[in-house]
Amino acid sequence: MANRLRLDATIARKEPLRLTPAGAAVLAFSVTHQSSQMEAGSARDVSFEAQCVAIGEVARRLEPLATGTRIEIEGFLAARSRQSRSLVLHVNEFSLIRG
Amino acid sequence: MPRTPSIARIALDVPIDTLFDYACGTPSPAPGSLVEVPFGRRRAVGVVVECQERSEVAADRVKPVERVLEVAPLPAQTLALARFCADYYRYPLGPTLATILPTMLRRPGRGSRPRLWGYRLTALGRSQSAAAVPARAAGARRLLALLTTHELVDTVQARLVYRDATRLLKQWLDQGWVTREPIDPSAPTQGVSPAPPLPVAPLTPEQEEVVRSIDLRTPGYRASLLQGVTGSGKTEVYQALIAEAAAAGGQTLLLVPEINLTPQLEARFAARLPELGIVSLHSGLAEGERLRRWERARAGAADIVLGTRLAVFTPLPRLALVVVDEEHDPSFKQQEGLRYHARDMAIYLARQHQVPIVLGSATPSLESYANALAGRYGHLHLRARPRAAAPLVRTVDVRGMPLEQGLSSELLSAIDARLGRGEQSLVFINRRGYAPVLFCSACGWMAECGRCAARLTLHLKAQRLRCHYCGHQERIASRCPSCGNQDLHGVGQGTQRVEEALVARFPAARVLRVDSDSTRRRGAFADMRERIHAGAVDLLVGTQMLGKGHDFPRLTLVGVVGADHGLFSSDFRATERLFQQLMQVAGRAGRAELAGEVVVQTEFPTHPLYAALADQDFDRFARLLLAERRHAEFPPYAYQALLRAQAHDQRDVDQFLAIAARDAHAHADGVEVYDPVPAPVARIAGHWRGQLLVQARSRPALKRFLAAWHPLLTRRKAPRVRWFLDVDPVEL
Repeated sequence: MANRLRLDATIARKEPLRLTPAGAAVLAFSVTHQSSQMEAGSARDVSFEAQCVAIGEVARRLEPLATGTRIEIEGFLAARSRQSRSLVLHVNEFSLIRG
Repeated sequence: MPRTPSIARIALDVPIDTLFDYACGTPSPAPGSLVEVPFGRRRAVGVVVECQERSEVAADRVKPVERVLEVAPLPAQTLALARFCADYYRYPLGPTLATILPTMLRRPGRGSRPRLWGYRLTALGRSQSAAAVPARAAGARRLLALLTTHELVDTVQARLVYRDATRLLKQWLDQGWVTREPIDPSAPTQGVSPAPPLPVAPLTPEQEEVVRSIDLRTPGYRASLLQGVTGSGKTEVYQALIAEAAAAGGQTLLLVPEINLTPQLEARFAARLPELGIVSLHSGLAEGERLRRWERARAGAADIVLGTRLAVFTPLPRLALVVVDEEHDPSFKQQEGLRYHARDMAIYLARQHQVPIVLGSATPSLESYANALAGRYGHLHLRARPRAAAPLVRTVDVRGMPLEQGLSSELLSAIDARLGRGEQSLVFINRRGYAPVLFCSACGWMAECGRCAARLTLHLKAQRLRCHYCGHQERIASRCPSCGNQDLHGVGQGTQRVEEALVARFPAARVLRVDSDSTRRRGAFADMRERIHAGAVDLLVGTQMLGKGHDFPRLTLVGVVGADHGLFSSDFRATERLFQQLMQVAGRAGRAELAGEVVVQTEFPTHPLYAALADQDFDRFARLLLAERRHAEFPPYAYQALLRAQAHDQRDVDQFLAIAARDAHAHADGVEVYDPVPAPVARIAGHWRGQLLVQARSRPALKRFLAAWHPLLTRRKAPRVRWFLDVDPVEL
């Protein structure tokens, strides 16, 4: 089943890096996004904020980045928990956007 | 005419409720003698229970007694106590005796019984030691001082002043500083004091009144419940009574609940009553040491025998007084093999010897409390706290409150204030480990033990998931085995998590965690106690290990976390237990000159238990619980026995208990038979466990019923089922 997301975004807020009981790094953060997208044949402005999480080595690479840093994200969506169905973007890979 | 051999009927440590007949010479050995006999292909040591003219076993099948061991026979009273115990708890006499006698006493084979050595300082030792032993070797110094003041020092005495004395004495023996000689265990032992003797504080009028009403000069049995709030000086009362008994030539048996408390109490009594010989007996002793001490006690050489539950069976020829301290403590009930209750055996012992018994507690068991209310026991009170005020107890309603790793801002700021004043705080949480559950919030999975019907506890420090029931441990799952999510969480609080939270919040404070994990190493707990006393600790996190009897003068705040789950247990004793525990732990706050405060975090602030705790009113809550028990017809208004069964296959358990229930109904005259149910933890280490409760209005009715029912159970063939009867169970 397809569940793949690519997003250019700006790091907005970061929680402190934490470890799972088994010792994997976890970084919860949020990003903002602003762009122009096509909808029903015409362009429109889009902006939103998204909750993200990264685990393991990706989390450790993201951790030192300052808020305001622009990154290109690749990942998938999952529910926050069984109780809360709000979406969280799980980041599998990212790269810095220069310029 | 052939002379009929005299027959000795012998109790052997085999799980069959019968005595074994052996031929013995004349004169026949006295009852209570220890004998070595052939049993099957091995030799065994047994106890002669009685001798008679003939056996019902064919004469050619009766084997002879091989030898009578060279130890004095058990006194008739000890044998009678063992018989009563075996009969009451439905346990065979042979294994009963095997439980209560020191293992070394009944080991077959020759000699090799450990000797009691006495050490004497030589002229060489006298001249050389003073310069050679440095002043900072405090233990060695104390040992030297003891050898100087006492002509002959035995190892029991030596270890009282210095834990590692035996090793040092051997070394000094090699150096020629001391000589040694065997000591007759019945030779009277002299008191030794590990520290400079403490002056015995004069009794308060209230304490004096208690001592007067126990009135040791009047002979005969009577039981008294001494209900004294924490800090009211129960120990001072014991000391006065012990001194009085000893002055009249009597021995005192003092039972205490916990092995951890014995060295502390032993030192305290030795310092306060330096002229009295004291012997402590507990399960932490090496077998040889236990036997030596046991022989000292039975020979009448010790004035005070201080011990945990098993000490109740020590023969004491000069017994004049029995004291059970913290009589409500569940550890007085043995939970395996011979499931006796040492407090109840102590009552029997006192009655048998016709001596007074004192049951002491700040929070008596409801059984003893009801006996006192009914006038069967004397009811004595110590209400004043000569050295402290009652702690101020308040509850913090944590419903909907943001918590910092389970700790409320009220508790944290109370701790902060103590840190500022250089006082100690204790956070009491009766759950060890980091978190009781490892949880996947994505799918709801929780880590469970593969062999038990129980969750695994997260131990972050050791990086392990551990089962607190069967001891199984495994690596912490790195991903959820059900959905693959790696972001697993520990849910709930354990001591380690609270410790971590306190360290993070108060980085400058010295935090110490005291639970059975952190005290596993031998002597670790004693070291920790010393550090706490020395003020080298600011913040304590601990389980009920810290609740009992420890007097920490700088401790002024107790925080209680996670106690609520004790309010809603299926065991009707859970609230009684929780209340006792919280009263005890609250009593830790502010014992000396500093006022104490207790902060209880709860989601049920209006529960009567917390209200009674806040008022420090044991009596009110005890009466409330007793009314409930009377209404529900539970102990102490009923007498219970629990049949516990376990097997690999659940069907075997169910089938056995169903048959047992049928058998029970057939004899249930005046006895209520409940339905078989799964145990609270239905499977442990791969064994399914079930139980069947029976209950009677009177003790004799229960005893009669068990005498009829138990043999039926024994005859039922259920080879795959392990089962036992627990008479007067303290846990359901």
